Amino acid sequence: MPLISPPALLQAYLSQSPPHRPSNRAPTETRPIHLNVGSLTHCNGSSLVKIGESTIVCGIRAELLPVSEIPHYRASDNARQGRTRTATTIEEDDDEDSDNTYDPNPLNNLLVPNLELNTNSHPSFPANIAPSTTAQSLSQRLLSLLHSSRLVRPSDLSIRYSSEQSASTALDPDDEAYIEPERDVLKAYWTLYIDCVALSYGGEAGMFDAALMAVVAALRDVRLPRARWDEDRKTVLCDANFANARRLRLRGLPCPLGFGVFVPDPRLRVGAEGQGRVNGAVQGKSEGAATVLIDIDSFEDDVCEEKGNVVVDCSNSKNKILKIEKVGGHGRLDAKAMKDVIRRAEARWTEWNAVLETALRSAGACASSVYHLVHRAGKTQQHDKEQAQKYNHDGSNITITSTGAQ
Amino acid sequence: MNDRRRINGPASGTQPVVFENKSKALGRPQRSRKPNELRKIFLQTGLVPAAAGSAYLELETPSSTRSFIPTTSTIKLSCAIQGPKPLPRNSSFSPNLQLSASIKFAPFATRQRHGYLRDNVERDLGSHLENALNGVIIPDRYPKSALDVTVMVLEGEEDCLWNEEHGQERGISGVGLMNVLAESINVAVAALIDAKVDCLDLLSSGVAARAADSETDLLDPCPSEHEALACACVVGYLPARNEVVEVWSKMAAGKGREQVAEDLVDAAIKAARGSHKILTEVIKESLKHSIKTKHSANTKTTNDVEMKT
Repeated sequence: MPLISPPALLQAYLSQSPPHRPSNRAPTETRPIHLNVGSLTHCNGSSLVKIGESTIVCGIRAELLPVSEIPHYRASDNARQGRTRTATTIEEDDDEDSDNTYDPNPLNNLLVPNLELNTNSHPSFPANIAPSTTAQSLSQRLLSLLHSSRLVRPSDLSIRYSSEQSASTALDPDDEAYIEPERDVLKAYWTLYIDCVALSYGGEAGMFDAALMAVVAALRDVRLPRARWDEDRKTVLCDANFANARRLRLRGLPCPLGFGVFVPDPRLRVGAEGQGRVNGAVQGKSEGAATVLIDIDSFEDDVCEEKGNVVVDCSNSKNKILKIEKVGGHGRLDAKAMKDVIRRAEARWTEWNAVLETALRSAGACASSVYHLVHRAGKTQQHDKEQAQKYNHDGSNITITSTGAQ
Repeated sequence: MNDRRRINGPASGTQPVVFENKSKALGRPQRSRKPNELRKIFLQTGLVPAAAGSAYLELETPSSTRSFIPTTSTIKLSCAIQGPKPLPRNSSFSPNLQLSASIKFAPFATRQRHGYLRDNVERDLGSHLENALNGVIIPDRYPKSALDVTVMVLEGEEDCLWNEEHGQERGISGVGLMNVLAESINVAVAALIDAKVDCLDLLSSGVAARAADSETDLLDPCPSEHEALACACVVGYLPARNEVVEVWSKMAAGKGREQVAEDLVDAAIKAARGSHKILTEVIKESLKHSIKTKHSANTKTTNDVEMKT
C-alpha cells in the first residue's frame, strides 16, 4: 500500500506517548528471532531465520578443492606449516594461537556466500535478471564479515595426509626405489558454498541481520564427512557414515543489530512545536528530535536516511565489536547514542545465543523439516495451531476410493 | 565464464564429494502407503507480506535419520504472486492478462548444485506451469495488466537413490520433476487464490505412475521407492468442469499402450482430486483467518494516530 507521506506517518507514531512505531514496538524494541536448523536434505548444514517480515533460508554445501587444482600453489609453505602444527595442537589451538596462523588467502575462495533476492521475495526485484545492487552488496558484506571475524578456522577446512611407513617402503634412503614419506601434507581443501535464498524481503537492514544469523546458524549445523586422501587413486574419499562426521569449530558467535536514525521533516516540526528547531539533541526529550530506531523493518528502512549496523560477539564473556557500519544522513548520531546501540546489540547477542542453542538442540532430537519453522513463524500463534492440526487430520489417509472417478 | 555479479568459488572449480563406503545397508525405502494414497501435504498461504499472494507447500518428511546419502527427499516449494500490475509503458496494448510463470531451483535444492542462472529444465517446467495456469485464469478480466508467478524450489525430488548410477537401464526418468511440477501447480493455485485473482475453477494437479511389471496405478509415486517406473503422467485438472488443462506423460511406445495411457490419465485425475480436497481446506482456513484478523484490527483502536499537519 503506497503512502503519500511515510515520514509524516512515522513522525505521528513516534510523537505519541509513550512513543511507538507502526509495528507497535517501542523505538528500542527488537523483533523476536525464529530459527530452524538442519531442515534441508541435500545440505551439509542449513537454517531458516525469520525476523519480522524477513525470511531467509541458508543452505551450505561442501565440495572439495584438491591443491593440485589451485594455480600457483606452493606446497613448501604448507608442508612447513603442517610440520609445526601436529594433531594435538590442532585440537588445542585456542583463539590466541590460531590468530597468528590465520592466513586469509587460502580462505578467500573457500567460503562462497551468495544471497539471492528474487522476485519471489519482493515485487521490486524483477524476475530473471542479474542480481540487484542490494543483493550484491549484501553478499559482499557477508563475505567480508566472515573473513574479518575469522569465524571459520582454516584447519577445519583442510584435508591432510601422512603416508604410513610400512615395512616394504622403509628402505634405505640411498636406494633408488626410496620414496620420501609424506608427513602431514595438505592435499585438499573443503569449499563451503553458502547459498542464502530470501523467501521474503524486509528491507536491507533487516535482511543483513537475518542473513548473517542464517549463515552463522547453518555454519554451526555443518557436518563435514570424515575425509581421507587416497594415495593410489590420487583423490579424496569420504566416509558416508554420519556418526563419523565432524562439526566446524567456529570462533565466537557474531550477532548483528541494524538501526536507523529517523529525523523528522523540519516543516513538520514547525507545525508541531510552533518554531523550527533543527538542532535537537539526539534522543532528546523534545518532540521532533532525531530518534534512534533499533531493528528497523522495511517501512522504517525506506524512511530513515541514516542507517547502520553493529555486529558484536560476546562469547567467552568477552565483549567484542566485530563491525560498526553507518551510512547516510548528516551525522545526527553521536557517540553516546552509538554506545547505547552497542549495549542493545549485546543484549541481542544473549537472546540470539539462547535461540540458537535451543534450535540446535531440538534439531538433533527430531526429524527436522522446514515445516516446523514455517509453522512456528506463521502470522499468529492461533493460526499456527489450526494449521498444525490440519496437517495431521487432513493430510493423513487421503484415499481416493470414496471419490473414485469411475 | 564467471558471473561477476556474484561471489564465485575457487577459479578452478571444485569437485563434488565421493563416498567410499556407499553402505549397502542403506536399503531402498518401501512404499508403505496404499497405491491410491497420497503423501501428506502441508500448505499455508500468506507467508510473504510484500507479495500480492503467496503460499508454501511441503510434502511429508519421511522419518529418517540425517545422513550424507539421503535415501528420500521431499518437496518444499514457496510461491509468490506479483500483480495484477500495469504493463510497462513501452509495451503494446493487450486486452488480456499477461501471465508469466517461472520455476527456479535453489542452489541447494537437489543433489547436484544448481547454478543461479536458469537452465533448460527450469524453463521447461516453467512453461508447463504457465500453460496450466493459463487454463484457469480468466484473462479478459484484467486488460493491460501483467501477473508474475514465481515458484522457488527449496527442495526437489530425485529420480533415483544416490548410490545408484543415474540414467537407469530400465524404466523412465524425470518422475521427480513431474512431482515438482504437480506440486508447483498446486502451490501456485493456492497463491493465486490468496492474491484473489479471478479463476474459472480450483485447478489441482496430481501424478500417477506404473511400476515396471505391474498393472497397478500408483498415485503420487515417490521415485526413490521404486526400482523402475514404466510410465508416469501428470495432469492439471479442473474438478468442477471436469476438464484437463495440462497433461505431461512419459512412457515407452508400443502396441496396446493407448489403453495404458488412458488409465494413467484417469489415475492422475484421481490424484488431482485428492490435492483438490486439501486446497479447498486450506483456502477455507486462510479465509477464516483473514476475516478474523480484519475483525480484530477493526476493534483495536490503538492503531489510529492523529497526524499533525
